[in-house]
Amino acid sequence: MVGKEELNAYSCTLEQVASELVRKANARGIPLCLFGGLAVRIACRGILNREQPLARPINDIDFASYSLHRRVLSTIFEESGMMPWNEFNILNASQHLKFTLLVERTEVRVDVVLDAVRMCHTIPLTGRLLVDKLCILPTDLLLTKLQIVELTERDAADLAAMFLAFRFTRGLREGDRDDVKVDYIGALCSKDWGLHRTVTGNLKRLCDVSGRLLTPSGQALLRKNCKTLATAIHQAPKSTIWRFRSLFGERIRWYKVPEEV
Amino acid sequence: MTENGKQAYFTRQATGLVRQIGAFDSFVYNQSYINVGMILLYAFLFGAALYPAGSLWLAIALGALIAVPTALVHGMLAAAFPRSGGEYVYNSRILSPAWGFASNWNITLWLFFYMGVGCNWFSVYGLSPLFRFLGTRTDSTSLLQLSGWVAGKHGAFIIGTLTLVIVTALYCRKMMLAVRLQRAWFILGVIGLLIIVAALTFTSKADYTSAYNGYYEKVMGVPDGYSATLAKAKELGFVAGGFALLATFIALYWPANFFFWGNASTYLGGEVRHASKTQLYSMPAAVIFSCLLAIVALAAFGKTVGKELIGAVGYTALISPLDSPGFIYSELGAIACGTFFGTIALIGCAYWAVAFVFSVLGAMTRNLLAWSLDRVMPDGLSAVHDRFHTPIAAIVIGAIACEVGLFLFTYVPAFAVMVGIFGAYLTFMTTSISAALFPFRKKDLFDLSPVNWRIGGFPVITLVGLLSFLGLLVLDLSVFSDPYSGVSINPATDAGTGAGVPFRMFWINLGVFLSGFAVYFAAKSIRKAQGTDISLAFKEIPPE
Repeated sequence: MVGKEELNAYSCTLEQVASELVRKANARGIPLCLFGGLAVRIACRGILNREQPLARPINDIDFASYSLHRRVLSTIFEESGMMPWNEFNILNASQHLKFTLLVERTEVRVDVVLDAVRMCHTIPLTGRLLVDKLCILPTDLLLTKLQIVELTERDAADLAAMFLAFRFTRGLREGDRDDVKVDYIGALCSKDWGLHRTVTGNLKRLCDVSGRLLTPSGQALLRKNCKTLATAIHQAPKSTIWRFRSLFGERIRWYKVPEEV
Repeated sequence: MTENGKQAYFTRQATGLVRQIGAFDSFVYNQSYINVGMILLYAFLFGAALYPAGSLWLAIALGALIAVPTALVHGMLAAAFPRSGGEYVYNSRILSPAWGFASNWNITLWLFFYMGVGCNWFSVYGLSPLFRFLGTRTDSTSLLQLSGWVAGKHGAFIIGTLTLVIVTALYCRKMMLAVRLQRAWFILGVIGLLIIVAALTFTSKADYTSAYNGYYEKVMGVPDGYSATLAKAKELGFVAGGFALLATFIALYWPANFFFWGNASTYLGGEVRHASKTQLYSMPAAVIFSCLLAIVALAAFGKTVGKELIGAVGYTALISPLDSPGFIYSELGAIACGTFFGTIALIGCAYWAVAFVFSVLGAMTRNLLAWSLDRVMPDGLSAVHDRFHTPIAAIVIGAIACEVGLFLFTYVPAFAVMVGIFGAYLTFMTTSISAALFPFRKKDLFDLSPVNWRIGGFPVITLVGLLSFLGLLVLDLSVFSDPYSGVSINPATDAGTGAGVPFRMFWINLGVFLSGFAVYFAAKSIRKAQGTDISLAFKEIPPE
């Protein structure tokens, strides 16, 4: 059984590896930003130190970048000792790359999604990835977890950490501060009924399970931020397509099912 | 999700992937490979015309029945090996790398050839009937002339080449563009066929004969076309009527050979969503759907057009093309429709003529990629375009091979019939043997696979593999029994292309298959000289 400290040290190693890759990409002017568990660990470090049940081991590295830089990114990753998934990378060249890296005798899977996160729902990233930023914007990081239909315990812990660590502010444009822009999420949800259904469902679910994960003060903050976000989503004017799709509700599946590869 | 305050969580482990090809796309792919439109076309043109005593519906039903095990073989292997490359992956792992490559090389070459055939068909059987129908209904001489030109050799070659360029460009730009266009046109294709079925069902024979006479007069300039068609066919030697089991067996080849092709999605294994279920069900479903649609259409045609007229039209077109208007199934059906619905029906049915082109390029490109990634072919073949992110080298090389196929089919008489079917079936036979041996040669893999079913301890896939082999054998017997199949084991057979030509085509079929071994061993020795042992790539299932 691997101890907590060892897991922590392993996660730190992954963080170093990821940071080095981001530095190499940024040096060539290519935005390469982390998302997933490692990004949550970095972006919510203070909260994870305080709310220990939310901390969890990291097994893989997820990056986001632009398809325009696919070839250079592949070169950087391979030069860094990673094994590309050749067939996968050819067949999914416009949207997803996969590599395997050996870290401390353990195989680590490294995913690079291009232009958008395409899982249960599509979260667009075009124009939202910045050079010199280690992680994707907090708004997008939160969305990548909120769009998951089948939440795992880890996803719930990551979401709870983000609801405690980030400031939830109104407005659409990302400013200098690392805030979650609730109106941006509201705008995305007002165009896509499916995303709206999943995000609002997850907010409710998160409030339901927060008692098991958080201290009373943590629960109160999470509920407050959930409410801010839910209000913004509710208030956002809905598109015609949204209204039409809402007529069918859950009778038609509203999300896609990502598969393990 | 919340039950008694306790949270039920899911067990997803890592970043997932939404694969691009869903169950419906997979079905469309497989259905388009089988191609219900071409089943009707060839069943009418060759089956009804050359073997009028054969029962077409029985041939179609029997054809589908013997093809189901082959569809299951491919579906089960694709579920067990959810990787791109089709039989290249299965046969190389179960039998040997050389057999895997040779069988896949063989089918790839023949499918590129048939993709070229599909480009020709689009012009001859897709656009020509459409232009003629519109020209007849609008009294436009220009459209009638255009119809004649696109049905001619040069017209078909030029239109076929343009079709190929457009489809290639779509695949180079983004595969999903081609998949979406195919999906939409497929739906229109089914609607087109159903319009024809409905129109024929609700039209009396007398009304149809009158409509046929009017249409025929505008095309051929001769009144009472119904009687004229029958009279001409009889004059040329056509004898209608009766039922003979042997004629049905020989005619079986024409509709049945299409049913064995419901395996297109195996080549895209790595891109198919929920492969273990989708692959397993979409292939037999495509066979059954095609069979039902063909039988329903056949019943409607039989009721209103009549087997005698269908046979006479086909017979005259084959024996004396200049005396024949060359009406195919879609045009015979559109005659019963008004101008609007007839046009929609013919635009829809044009899909069946071009369907193969869409399906083959996507599927066969995956084979070229798999060869390149295993180092059997040059690395450059798997190069991805920087801007479009598509395997452009493989697509373009595939398109060039297809253009050669288009040229051969259009201009070289020996290639003008379905001459490669026998050769292509050699691959399916190899795969059937592979399926039968799977539980014995790769026991561990089989036991872990989603198709590890047994009946009384006997592996189901072995049984299905043997049945598939048997079905293919029956069809090969049908091929060799029919002098018009274009392939013969009798040196004296003449199918109108010259005595001995079908016999030479038999050897060409065998030669193409065997050339795969030569290519594999040549590649192996070249790579060995470069310090690479390519056989190591075949020790495991390829990663994605």
